[in-house]
Amino acid sequence: MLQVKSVTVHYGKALAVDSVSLEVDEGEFVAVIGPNGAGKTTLFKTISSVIRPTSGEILFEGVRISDLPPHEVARLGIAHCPERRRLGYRMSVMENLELGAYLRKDRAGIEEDLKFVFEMFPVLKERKNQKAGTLSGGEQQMLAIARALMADPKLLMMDEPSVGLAPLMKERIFEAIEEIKKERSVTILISEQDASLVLPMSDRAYVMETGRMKIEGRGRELMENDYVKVTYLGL
Amino acid sequence: MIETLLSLTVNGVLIGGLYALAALGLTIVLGVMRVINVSHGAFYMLGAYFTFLFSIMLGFNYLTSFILSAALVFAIGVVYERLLIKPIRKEELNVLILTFAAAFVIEEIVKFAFGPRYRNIPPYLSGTVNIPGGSVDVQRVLSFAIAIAIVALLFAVLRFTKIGKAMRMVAEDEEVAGILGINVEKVQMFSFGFGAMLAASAAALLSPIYLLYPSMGWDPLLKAFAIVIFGGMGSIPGTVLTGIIFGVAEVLTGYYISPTWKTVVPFILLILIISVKPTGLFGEEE
Ligand SMILES: Nc1ncnc2c1ncn2[C@@H]1O[C@H](COP(=O)(O)OP(=O)(O)OP(=O)(O)O)[C@@H](O)[C@H]1O
Ligand SMILES: [Mg+2]
Repeated sequence: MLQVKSVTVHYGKALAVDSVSLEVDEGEFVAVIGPNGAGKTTLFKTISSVIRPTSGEILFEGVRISDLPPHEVARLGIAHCPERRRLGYRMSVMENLELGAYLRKDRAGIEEDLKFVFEMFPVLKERKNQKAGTLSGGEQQMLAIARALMADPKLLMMDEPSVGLAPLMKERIFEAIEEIKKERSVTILISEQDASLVLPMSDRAYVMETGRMKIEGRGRELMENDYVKVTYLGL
Repeated sequence: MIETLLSLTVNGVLIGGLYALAALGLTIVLGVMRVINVSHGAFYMLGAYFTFLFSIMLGFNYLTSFILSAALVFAIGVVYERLLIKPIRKEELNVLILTFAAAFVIEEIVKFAFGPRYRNIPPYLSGTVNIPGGSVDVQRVLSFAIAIAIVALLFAVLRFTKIGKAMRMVAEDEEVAGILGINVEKVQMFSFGFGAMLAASAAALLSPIYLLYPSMGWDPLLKAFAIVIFGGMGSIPGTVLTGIIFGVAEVLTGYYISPTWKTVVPFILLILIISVKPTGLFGEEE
C-alpha cells in the first residue's frame, strides 16, 4: 500500500532522513520506534508531502505521491495525526472534527464516524462546543486522533500520540488505538518512543536511529531482539 | 453640550465603521497568510477610482458601480497574489518591499489612466436625519449600514461556511491545514482577493465623502495598520471595535481640539495601548 523508497530528507544542509525505505501493506499495523531526533517526524511529514525529499520516492497504492501537494495526498486517503496534536486551538472541538472530514461528501458516513469517535472518547462529546485550546493535553490528543479518523482514511499515520502525557493517559490513548485497530479496517503507521507500549500490538516495526533504519522485523520478534531489549525496553 | 457630544459620537461611529471595513482586509490577509500587505492602500485607491469610472464616466448607478468595483478589485487581488506574493510569501522582508513597490506602480498606472488631478464623486443620496444635537447625512447612515452588513457577512462566512473554517485553519496552522486536505494556496489566493475587496468596498463607500487622487491610499493604509495593531494583530472583533473607536476619536478631536490633530490622535492612542498591552486590545499573549 505504502512504499517509501530510499528517501533522503535535508533541512537546509542538515541531513535528517538518510536513504530510508519502509513498506506498509494493507491492513497492517506498523510502528517506527526511535529516540529523539531519529527522524520519525521528518519521515511522516515527508509521506504527507509537507516536506519534499531530496531524493528517493514515495508510492501510495502505486501512485507516486512524493511530488503531490499535501492536500492531494490527503485526498488519496492518508490521514496524518501530527506530533504534538496541532489542533485548531481557537476553534471548537466540533469544528476540528468537521475539518477532519473536510474532503468528504458522504454525510451518512460522516455522522457514523462522528458517533464512533464520540463513543470512543465521550469527553469530546461533552466538550464539543468548547474551544480545543481549553482542553487538557490528553483530551487534545484524543481530539487529534478523532480528527484524523473523521477523514475515514485508508492509511492512518499517528506521530508519537503519547508524547508528553501522564502514564495513565498514555494507556488510555493506547487502548483507543487498540480499539481503532480492531474496529476499523484502517492501515496504521505509528511512531513512538515507548517501544513497550507499541511493539506488542504491531504486526511489524522499524527501529530508526539518526536518520536511518537500523532494524526491521515483526513486532513480537523485535521484543525478543537483544539490542531492542537493552536499548528500548530497558530489560 | 451632551447633545453635541452625542451627535459627534454618532458621526464618529458612522465613519469608524468604514475604517473598520478597510482595516479588516488587512487583518484577514495578515491572519490567513502572515503577510503585511503594503499595497492595501493601493487597492483602496483602486476601489475609489473604479467607482468613479463606473458611476461618473460610464454612467452606472452608484450601487452597481460599487459592486462592479469591488468585484474588479477582488479579481485584481487574486491575480496580484498569484503573480507577486505566492512566489516569495515566506520571505517577509521581500513581501514588504515588493508590496510597497507595487503600490507605487499601481498609483502611477492610475495617474496615467485618470490624470493626476483631484476627482470627486457626488453624494449618491441626499438628505439628512435630525438627531439630538445635530444631524447626520442619510448617505452616511446607509454607507455605514452597508459596511456593517459586509462585516456581518464576513463573520458568518468565517464561522459557518466550509471555506471560512478552512481560512481559520490556515490562519492557525498552514501545514496541518494542508494535511487535512485544504488547498492552502487556493485559500490564500481567495483571502488575498477578499482582503483587497474589503479595502475597495470601504473606499467606494467613502468616495462620496472624500476627494479622489492617485496617492489617496496611503493615509487609509497607515490608519488601517494602526487599527490592526491597536485591535490585536489578526483579531477580527478587535479590528472592528478599534475602527469605530478611531472614528469617534477623530471626530471628537477635530471638534474639541483642532482639525489638524484629527489624523494624529489614532497614532497617539496606538502608542498608548502598545505601551500598556503590546499585543493590542484583543491580542493573545504568546
Ligand atoms: N524544522 C527543522 N529544521 C531543521 N532541522 C530540523 C527540523 N525539524 C527537525 N530537524 C532535525 O531533524 C532531525 C530529525 O528530527 P525529527 O523531528 O524528525 O525526529 P523525531 O524522531 O521525530 O524526534 P522526536 O522523537 O523528538 O520527535 C533532528 O536532528 C532535528 O534536529
Ligand atoms: Mg518526532
